[in-house]
Amino acid sequence: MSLIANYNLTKSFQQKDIYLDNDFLCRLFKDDQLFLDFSKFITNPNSLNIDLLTEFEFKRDIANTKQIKLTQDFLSKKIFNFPKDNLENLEKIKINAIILSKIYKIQNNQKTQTNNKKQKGPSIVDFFLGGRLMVDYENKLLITGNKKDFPHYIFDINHIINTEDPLNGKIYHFFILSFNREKFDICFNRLNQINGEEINPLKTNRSNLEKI
Amino acid sequence: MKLEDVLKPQFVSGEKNEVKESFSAGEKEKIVSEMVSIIQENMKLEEELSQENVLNC
Repeated sequence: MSLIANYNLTKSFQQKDIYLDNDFLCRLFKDDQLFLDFSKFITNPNSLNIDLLTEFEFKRDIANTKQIKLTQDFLSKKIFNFPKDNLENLEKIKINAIILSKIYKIQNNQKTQTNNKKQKGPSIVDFFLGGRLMVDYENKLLITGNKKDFPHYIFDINHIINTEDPLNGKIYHFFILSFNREKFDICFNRLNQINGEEINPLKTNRSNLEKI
Repeated sequence: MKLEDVLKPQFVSGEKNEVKESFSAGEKEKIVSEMVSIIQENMKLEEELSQENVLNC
């Protein structure tokens, strides 16, 4: 069994737009048993959404021509959907991504000052994916293994999927996340507060951070 | 000026959320079976490629 300690996700997935992060997409492509187990929860065609930037991440490291063809065949199946955004929607996602990056920056600065340890931030792809989850957030879920890129002060964990790599027995954890509007509003209000006091949130000092 | 005056979070896409269609009879089984074949081919290829890398080292 590849997919272990699981719940019946069918109900959670129904009528939702499920977005896949690159790490989970890669695991599906490398583990037939995981795919079989996971497919049991999918009831609608085109319900697994792949963002344009996630598709780019998935394809960029494959150099072998045979594998490129396999990747294309895999992604062409009717189980996947590739959202085609108009300019207006892209602009909304971009604005959300910028806001998220400002909130993350402040929170990470706070952690850095507390732990005295430099933290690597999420990639642009993750900010845009987070920004996309905010738009129509009630209808969207994300499956990712990189929980730290979608932090607890904005996102909720709905479920955890555990999988065992059939080759080496290694256990992977993937998180089914949703955007939490209430948590976001708290972070955004604090960001506004700092901005209203004409303090640059990117250059916060300890006393300002304590307000966050 | 507040931050939200210049950067306002966007929560509504303006697109209609349509009720999702269902798979037709046998459609899902066919798709899953095709995808499993592709994945198995990819797993085999990955193994071959990793063995080639070991030999090259």
